[in-house]
Amino acid sequence: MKAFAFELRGAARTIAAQPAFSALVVGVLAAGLACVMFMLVVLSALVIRPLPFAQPERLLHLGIASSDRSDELGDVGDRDLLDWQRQLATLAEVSGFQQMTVNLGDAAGTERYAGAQLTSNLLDVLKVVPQLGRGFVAADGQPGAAPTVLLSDSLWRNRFNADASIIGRTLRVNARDAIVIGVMPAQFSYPYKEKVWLAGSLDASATRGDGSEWAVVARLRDGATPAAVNAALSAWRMEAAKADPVAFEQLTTGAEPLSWLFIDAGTRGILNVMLIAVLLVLLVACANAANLMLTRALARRQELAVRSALGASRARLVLQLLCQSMLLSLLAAAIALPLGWLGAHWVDLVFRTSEQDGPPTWMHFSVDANLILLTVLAALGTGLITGLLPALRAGSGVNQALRDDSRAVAGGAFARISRGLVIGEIALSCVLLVSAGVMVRGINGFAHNDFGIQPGHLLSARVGLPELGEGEGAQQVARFERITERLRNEPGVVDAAAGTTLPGLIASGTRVIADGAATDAPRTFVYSGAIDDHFAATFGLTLEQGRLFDSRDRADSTPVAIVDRTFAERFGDAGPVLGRRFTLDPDESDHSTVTVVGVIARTQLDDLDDPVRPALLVPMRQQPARFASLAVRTAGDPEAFAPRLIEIVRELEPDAPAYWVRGYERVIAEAVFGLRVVSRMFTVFGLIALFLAAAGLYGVLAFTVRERTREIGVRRALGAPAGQVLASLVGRGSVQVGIGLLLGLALGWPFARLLVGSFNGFDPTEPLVYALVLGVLALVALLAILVPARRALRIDPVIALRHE
Amino acid sequence: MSLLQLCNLEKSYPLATGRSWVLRNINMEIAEGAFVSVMGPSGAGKSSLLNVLGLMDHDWQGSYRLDGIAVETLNPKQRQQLQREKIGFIFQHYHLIDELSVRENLDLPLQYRDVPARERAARVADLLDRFQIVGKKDLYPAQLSGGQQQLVAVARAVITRPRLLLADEPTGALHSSQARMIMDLLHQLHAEGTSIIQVTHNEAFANEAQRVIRLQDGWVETGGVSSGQTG
Repeated sequence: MKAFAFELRGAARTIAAQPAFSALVVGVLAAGLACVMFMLVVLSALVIRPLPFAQPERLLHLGIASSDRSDELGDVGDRDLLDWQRQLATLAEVSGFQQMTVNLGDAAGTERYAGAQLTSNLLDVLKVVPQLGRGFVAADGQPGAAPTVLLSDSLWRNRFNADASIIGRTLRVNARDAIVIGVMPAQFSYPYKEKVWLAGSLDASATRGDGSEWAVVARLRDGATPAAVNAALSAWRMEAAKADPVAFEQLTTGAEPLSWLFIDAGTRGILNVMLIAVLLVLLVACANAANLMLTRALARRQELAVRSALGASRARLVLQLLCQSMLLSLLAAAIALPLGWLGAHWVDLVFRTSEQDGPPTWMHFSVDANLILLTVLAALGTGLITGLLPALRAGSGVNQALRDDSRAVAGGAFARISRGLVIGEIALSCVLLVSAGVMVRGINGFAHNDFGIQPGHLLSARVGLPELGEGEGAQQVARFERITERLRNEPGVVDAAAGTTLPGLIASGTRVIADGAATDAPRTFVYSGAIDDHFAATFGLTLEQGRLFDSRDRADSTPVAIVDRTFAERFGDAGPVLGRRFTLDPDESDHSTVTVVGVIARTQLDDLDDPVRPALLVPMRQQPARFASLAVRTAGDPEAFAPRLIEIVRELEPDAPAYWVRGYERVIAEAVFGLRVVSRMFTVFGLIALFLAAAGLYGVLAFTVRERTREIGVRRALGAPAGQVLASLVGRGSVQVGIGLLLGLALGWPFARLLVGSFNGFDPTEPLVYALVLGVLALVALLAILVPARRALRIDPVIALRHE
Repeated sequence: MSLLQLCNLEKSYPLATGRSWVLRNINMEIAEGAFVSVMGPSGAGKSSLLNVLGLMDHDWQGSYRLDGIAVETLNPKQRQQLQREKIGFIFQHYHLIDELSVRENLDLPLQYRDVPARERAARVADLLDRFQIVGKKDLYPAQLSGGQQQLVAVARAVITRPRLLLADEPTGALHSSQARMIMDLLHQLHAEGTSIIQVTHNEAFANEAQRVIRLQDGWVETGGVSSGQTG
């Protein structure tokens, strides 16, 4: 211990005595550790930190999934949820929720909030009790019962001034009277950023595929295990499949930790790749620092030899060098911690200010004691990795250094290790930069790609009409027509439309078979939407064949559809699709058959980063909906029209305020918001890796040049032209750079594929990205070589020969 | 009583065309308390011999007994232990540790030998006093003249009270008055009972020793075994 303290003091002094070198190593390691710290913040918020509920490990998310994507559990209908509550009664208490838009009104007006409908037992399952009033009971939400509502703490404080008498007050909720029964605790925003909760009921008579669908949450009873729940669900599926073999043919059931509901398989995949990327950055930093330490240990070999002659054992010499690297790493951690904190703050801010569905509000991107401890441990590990190789190499054969007064200590095994480390650094930097390049290029592509619409001069919004009861379909159509007509009459408006879809962001999923195909024919999944007659013109859809919807397509006329070219190609084997009939959702009771009357250019209806799928549009008059998007094509700045749109909707539909009112270019930007964040992170990782590779290359070559100053002086004195000496130095460095780049390119492609393989619109083989990465890395490497080489050449040969 | 004995000691490097001999058939006996100079032209094997004697080079054939212990039978750890116990080094270029003060440079060999702190402090203070460098104790090597640095290096070499002091051209980098001071110091240490072997090119300083061993092409030319054995 005494020896450790002594060496630690010595290491501190050595670090202080070499401020430039120490700063370089600390900077390099801090860059790597800051990335790790940042990633730990992200992982801690999304994966590691438990859900803010009692015994969170006993909470499960249950669901139904396609057999080929069993890790993406989907929602279930009323009947299945009731079945599960019965089937799993001894193993778990099963509940459900569904997110919804809630238009909350009182004398002060109507506002739209994110809300959720909960089965009456969900709060019991989560073990959450309202801070004021009561939670839902079984009678709430039952047919005939008075509607009840729970408010969030923030809504209660901000809109109702924390008035305790709110309990029992009647509010307008989705155009119906509802009694406030409780206020939830602060921080409760389940499932994401919800502010209002309604009681939902399960309809035992509902047919599978009809009605509402529930995300299922269960709490394990004492002694029960997730495996037992899974087995019980499988048994249920077998039984259900006997009664309904077609519906269950390609379906499976599953139970997963509830936290996975918020961090789906895709996100978990991205997190894994990001973690690998961060570890790569740290690896580059380690290789870099190890290389710098190695060169410094080489320069100190004679001192180490003297220490050995004075009685220091090899273990003591290794300890000395390790103390130095550990101390440097801890200094780096001291810089990385605030940087990581800033990163955490940034990502928290990005998600909080985003209008998109980010992670739930209870997920905090913050630094806590555990994270600091983990970062310090990572720093110590980094110090060990960084110091061990130089320590072991420099600690061996030190007596040779004392015997040889030669200055040519940079040759042999040391040089080989050093060169290997530089090659590794360049290769890893290349991998990271290629991945970042592919991500950035793909995301930038979204903004400029033709996905079937013209987003310029377009404003969009969503409106959710209240439930209107009997004959509501026709009323819904009429009310949306009333709004769009009024919008079209506004000055500066070129056209206005309504439709259930927002191309690139929102669409429904429909399974389709060609009419007349066998009942067991494979279903094709298409994105679909219902649109009015102005939708195509407003969004700028391009008609290629047939016609668009018009007044001929009434609610009682022949059901028709417009499809896109992807659809036409997918079903093109049996001839042109125009005029052909297709059955939509053939397995559901309300299936319909439509005739294709038009073909439009390729259009991406759902998320831009989803795989390209066929698109199918039907007239809104034939498939009315309560929720629709409004779109306004303006002559000028679309965002400037937003207040007027909100005003008009409020005037015409006081109970249904417009929300998500945004220019379409912003809509597209936000549609790829998550990917954009990831892409920015990768860009930062890549740039850090680039900086590290450049610093490493510079550091090692500067050392080599310094070691060779005398040799360079001799060569110059013997008449070697400057160009020749420069070429020899550059040549030596270029070989390392070349090998590193080749390796990096070979590894970059599979890594980029792993990263973006599951997203649409990214090309991991994009030649421009590879060319750019190669060019940038080669340029940076050349500069890192040239700077020390030119410095060596500027030295007078006579002075160089005197160089000690 | 002899402190060290070399018997048929040889050292060579393999070459494509045969072997390159560094030390040939060295037979040498040095008594406890002797002061011996090793001389010879460059390449004669002086430093190689000193490295072998100082247990820094283990790649040789023959027999080497140090204080009755057969060095060739020891493993590296035992050799280092023997080196720590018996040998002190003085180098031509002093090799003080730049980041350590004079006092800390003196303390370092004792640290490596796990000498208790109180005893270390006492021995360092004693030596600073004896070498009259108390006033320099907080200075760093770069703040000292060459002679002062070598003075500290000698103090550092003897602080562990070695039986054998090996000095590789101890005056080689010093001007004459500084060199004289170091030689006087060596005489003083010798008078106190330390055995000293110095490699030197300086004929006058060499002759101040009790015995001069001359090497030529790796062979002992003269002085390998002294007549009186006590120097």
